[in-house]
Amino acid sequence: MSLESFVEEARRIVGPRWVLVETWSLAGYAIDYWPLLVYRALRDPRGALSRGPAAAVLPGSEEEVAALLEAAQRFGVRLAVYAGGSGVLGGAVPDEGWVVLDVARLDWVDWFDEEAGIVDAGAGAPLAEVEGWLNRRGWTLRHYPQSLPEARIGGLVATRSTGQYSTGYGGIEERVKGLHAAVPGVGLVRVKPSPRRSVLPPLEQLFTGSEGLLGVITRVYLEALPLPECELRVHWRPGSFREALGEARSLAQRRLAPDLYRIYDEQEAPVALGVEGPAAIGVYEGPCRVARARLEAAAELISSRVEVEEGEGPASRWLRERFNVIASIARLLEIGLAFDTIEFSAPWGSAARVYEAARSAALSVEGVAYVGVHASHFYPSGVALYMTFAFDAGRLEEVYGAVWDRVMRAVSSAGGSISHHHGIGRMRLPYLKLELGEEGARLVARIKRALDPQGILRGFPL
Amino acid sequence: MESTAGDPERALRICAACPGICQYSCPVYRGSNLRSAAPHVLARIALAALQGSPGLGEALNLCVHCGECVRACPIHNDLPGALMAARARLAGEAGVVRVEARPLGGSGEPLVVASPIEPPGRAIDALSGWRLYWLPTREAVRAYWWGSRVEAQAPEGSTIIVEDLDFPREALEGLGRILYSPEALDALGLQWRPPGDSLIHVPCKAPEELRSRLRGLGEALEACSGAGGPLGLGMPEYAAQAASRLAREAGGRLVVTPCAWAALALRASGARACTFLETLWGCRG
Ligand SMILES: Cc1cc2nc3c(=O)[nH]c(=O)nc-3n(C[C@H](O)[C@H](O)[C@H](O)COP(=O)(O)OP(=O)(O)OC[C@H]3O[C@@H](n4cnc5c(N)ncnc54)[C@H](O)[C@@H]3O)c2cc1C
Repeated sequence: MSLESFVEEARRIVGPRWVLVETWSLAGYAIDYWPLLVYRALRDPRGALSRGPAAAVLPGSEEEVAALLEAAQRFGVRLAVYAGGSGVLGGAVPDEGWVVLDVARLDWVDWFDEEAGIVDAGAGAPLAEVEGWLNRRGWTLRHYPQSLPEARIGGLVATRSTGQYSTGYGGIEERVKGLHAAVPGVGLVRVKPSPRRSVLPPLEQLFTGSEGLLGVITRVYLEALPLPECELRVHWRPGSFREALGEARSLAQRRLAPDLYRIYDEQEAPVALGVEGPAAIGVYEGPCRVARARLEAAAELISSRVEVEEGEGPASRWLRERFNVIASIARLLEIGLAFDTIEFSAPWGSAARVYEAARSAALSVEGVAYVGVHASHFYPSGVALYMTFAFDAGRLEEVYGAVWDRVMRAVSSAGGSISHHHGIGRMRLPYLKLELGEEGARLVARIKRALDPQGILRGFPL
Repeated sequence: MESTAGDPERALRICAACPGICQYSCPVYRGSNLRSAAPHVLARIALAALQGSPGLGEALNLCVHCGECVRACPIHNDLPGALMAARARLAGEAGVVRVEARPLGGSGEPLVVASPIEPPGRAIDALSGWRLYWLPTREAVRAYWWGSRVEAQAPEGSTIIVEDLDFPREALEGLGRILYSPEALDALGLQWRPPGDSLIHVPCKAPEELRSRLRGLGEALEACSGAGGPLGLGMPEYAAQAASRLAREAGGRLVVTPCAWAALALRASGARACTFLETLWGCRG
């Protein structure tokens, strides 16, 4: 049996203790944080958890990862790459008979070059631990996704994630200065850290966003920055969401947008900020004089009155509660509601249209009880929009897929991009062509075939 | 939100719905890297096991009841309490486990060591002036975490030294004077000094009085070993893996601990570790 031979070989490579085969040790890999799977697991835990992988391997070194890929090729075994399991689209979840490659043990963090602020982190290092390690030394990645308490470095890079401060500091792709990845049939590719290079398309970016399809990221060189000296919290009340987007465009194009910047529509402001909406919150960071000067210039530019928070206020409240997702999950659960979020982006010219189209698309599905939207990341050329929808948990199977399908099509035809930072996972696979076009999708499939000719890693059914 | 205390199934469901905000605070998950040990994953497994999924119940040994997840949880959801109830349900009818102190030798007032580790012959000399007994806690602790009640027996008027922080304290009430080992060293008039270059382990399950006592004894290593609860006995190899993080922190120095489960797991993970009492009879890890 090929699986048995693989398991035997894997035991030789990583040591017997790091090859898991017992039911109790595998059940947890049956789901990640794709809400569809989470709510199914709540309704039928037994059924949902019975779909675990055939085995799981936890390599302890980069060389072991490369050897495991080689063994998977030799024995025709398929691998699902698993990091923190906080992905929200099912990307890390194995199919029946697959083996999970869990990068948890690649969890080191150290300086690669302290002078350059380049940190060397294993793909399995929890982001919270990397950030904590840096903070103790006066540094920061300033990469704060809401999943900071859960995600691991490999998963964050593999999904091309963004964080709450990404308006000011950019997404994870701007932090990645080099990386190592094990590629089937190639071995361990070592892309050394560099501030920037012009040597063909940068290989580190080939894997940034590769979602376990092209290889296994084993090590990442991330650019850290000294902790900011000052932080100024602000909030204001734009007249409408559309008006708020207009203000954001002016600010972003003049590089005056707050480093952390969020605009909530009428529906979401009361839930997220506890104020009537629409509402905007922001944080300006950096040397105190610079932060204040940027804030003042921004306040002059927009017509809303910008309030600086000295004590308590919507921005401070939001900052305090920003990782506490369980309070609202539990509240909804107890009144029989399930929810999910869909993020997408749009150039300024179509941002308002995309917002309206996505909202109407979600609301057009029967069983949807709530739709709220906020804008979370701002660029000179456009914006990321983030929609939360809640619905009757008892109607999960009919409502969930219908909302996603209508929203994906509405966003695309209104001129938006189907994803801003969660990636494609399983949920968005059917919509790839909407974003990339026929030829783009064919090219991606060709790249996939070139890097993983036997298809031992997750693939796309194009 | 209303507290989940007293409603284990609700606590499990809420935890199962969470992405795992607390997960890296769990010493077992962080030390062993076993996905099933991550608290929110364990909650999902417990729900499936309660529905009769075969082969999953064993995972419930993975919680050591240190309470780190409850502290890290923004809503302080009591997962350990819920797992305790889940184990009791899976075990079926609650039993009673009786353990009795076994005489080891010596003469004088009865002195009982409650620990999973049997004191060796040398202990009788080290504690001369006492009649030494061993109260073996191993099986009782396992049964306790799986829903049984524990009853202990010891000679009347015993002084009982507890080196098992998982053994239910209530089983000892009324049997005599109960002391944790660092307190006992004073109470028995032993001039104890920490062995050179040692670290004093302050385990997560130590009650507050014991913690402050431990901190005063030397350089403290305050962390959960990830080895107690049902894990130490149910899955000793994973307890050792869980303890390997603490072992790394100790960096080759001798760890002196009031918790025998921590000592066992630390030693199994290659670290130097002794309980307080063991240092009396020459243990150097
Ligand atoms: C409450 C919550 C809030 C969130 N907030 C944000 C947010 O603010 N911003 C954001 O961007 N995302 C957010 N997410 C989504 C999620 O956290 C990110 O997608 C994150 O990057 C996933 O990291 P992970 O370590 O959990 O990866 P996993 O879920 O384990 O894996 C994600 C994908 O990456 C692949 N992968 C993992 N490791 C590797 C590797 N070493 N090599 C190759 N492929 C790999 C997997 O196969 C899978 O396809 C949130 C999720 C939750 C649950």
